[in-house]
Amino acid sequence: MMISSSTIGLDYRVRSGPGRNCSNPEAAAKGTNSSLLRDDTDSLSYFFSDGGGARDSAVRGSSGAGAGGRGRGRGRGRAGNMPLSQSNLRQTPCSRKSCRNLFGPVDHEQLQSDFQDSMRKNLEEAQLKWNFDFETETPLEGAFKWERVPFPDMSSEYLCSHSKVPGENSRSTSTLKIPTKDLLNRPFSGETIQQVSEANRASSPRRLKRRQTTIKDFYSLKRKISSSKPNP
Amino acid sequence: MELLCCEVDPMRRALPDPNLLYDDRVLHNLLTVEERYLPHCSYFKCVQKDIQPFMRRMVATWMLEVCEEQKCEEEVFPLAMNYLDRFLAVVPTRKCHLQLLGAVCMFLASKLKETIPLTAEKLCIYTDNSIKPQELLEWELVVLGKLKWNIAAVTPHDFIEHILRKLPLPKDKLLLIRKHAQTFIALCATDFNFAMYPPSMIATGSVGAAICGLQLDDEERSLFGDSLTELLAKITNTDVDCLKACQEQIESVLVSNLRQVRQQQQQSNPSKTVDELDQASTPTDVRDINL
Repeated sequence: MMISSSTIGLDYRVRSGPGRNCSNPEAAAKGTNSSLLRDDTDSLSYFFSDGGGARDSAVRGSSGAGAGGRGRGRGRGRAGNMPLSQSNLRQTPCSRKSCRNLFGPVDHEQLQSDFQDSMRKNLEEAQLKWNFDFETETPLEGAFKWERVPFPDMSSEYLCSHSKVPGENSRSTSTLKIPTKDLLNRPFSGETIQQVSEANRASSPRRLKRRQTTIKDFYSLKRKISSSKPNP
Repeated sequence: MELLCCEVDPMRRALPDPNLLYDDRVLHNLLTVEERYLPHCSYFKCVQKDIQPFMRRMVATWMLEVCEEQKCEEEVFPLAMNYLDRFLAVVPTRKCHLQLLGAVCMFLASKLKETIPLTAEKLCIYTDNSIKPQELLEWELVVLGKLKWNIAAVTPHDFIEHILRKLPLPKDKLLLIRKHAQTFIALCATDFNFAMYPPSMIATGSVGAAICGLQLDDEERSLFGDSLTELLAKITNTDVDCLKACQEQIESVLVSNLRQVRQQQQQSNPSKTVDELDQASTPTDVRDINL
């Protein structure tokens, strides 16, 4: 089990394997493989976050976006093309003294049901607030007037602003797709929010579209300025 | 590749931005918005049934240890405590889920403030694997929802540079004063009595306590006793008496913490404890302060 690993950090890496197996089998399987392959590269934190699976990256992606620029920059680095020299930055091992369970055994079933409860309440509140059923994705009666934005349209708009950034393209499509698989994530996914885009103010679809192109113009304008600098 | 391997200091830091630090509008804006991020109520009385004040202290001490061991940015711990308090002020929480909440709060604060954030897996290891990464990620969503995604909270650290800049401090002592003030801020975050105080007051009190503790008042008359308090109070628009009380409170927390550290030192193997203390930044700094 402990092989010949001399540092505490390596011990923990082996130890934490089974824990991940129970929670997320496919991700854990991925993680274990890469841990065997890269056992000597000190890339603990990296393979963990990569092996975290689809769900993991979706959550990271969404909260990273909420958290602002720095978080997102880091997310880009995670995409697998980060050189090794940078991947072992946060390699401080966890000391045994600080690894402790403070309040006794955790009731995982209770935790799960509390989580489900809380998410359901969130969903209900969001449904009331936006008069939109996020589970069936259907508009309800209320203050907001909903209009459907065709999906291909929307995604191309969305991708346009990102596709010029190297490595960003594949990532943004994957984060777009993943949340739809997971019901609980739905009310928070960027996709729904884009569809939502306060329809009560934008009374006609034409006006909605115009607003989006203005934002896009802004981005391309900015890009021109930055790219013109290194040219001469 | 070779170029990157030569990078010794992994953390790329931006230089202090004079446009932000030398503009009073920034300070004024911070003072205007800081109240928005305070917990709604003293939750031990009105919200929590299962959780006691000493449990908050336990989870806070553990969080501080983790942050120090992982060399997190100074703001991460107070910010995480802000999330924890704001969450507990609205959601009745079970005792056995408190550590998970602490881990989630560190996870969020680290992602907001750090270039290389703590990973979910590492945080789970720190709970002795009593929680799973999957649970951490799920509860991250719950906490974010309850905080209404308002996570860029104002912390006492945001005020430190603005305050230090306006004081006639000797340049060679500036680093030490900043370090001590940061330690005091961390100390305040572990103590629930400070949870409802505006961050600007904690920052001002911490700087005051740091200057008094280092006995810089010999060198500069305006850094002496009451005139220092008045000067500080003016900078952050704090009431002088409140500030005085706050600073005294900080100093008494320090004294009681020092007493605890000494007790622990005597109880356990002395040589080993000294070693450990030297590694942890808080007690070391605390011992440096001349009481």
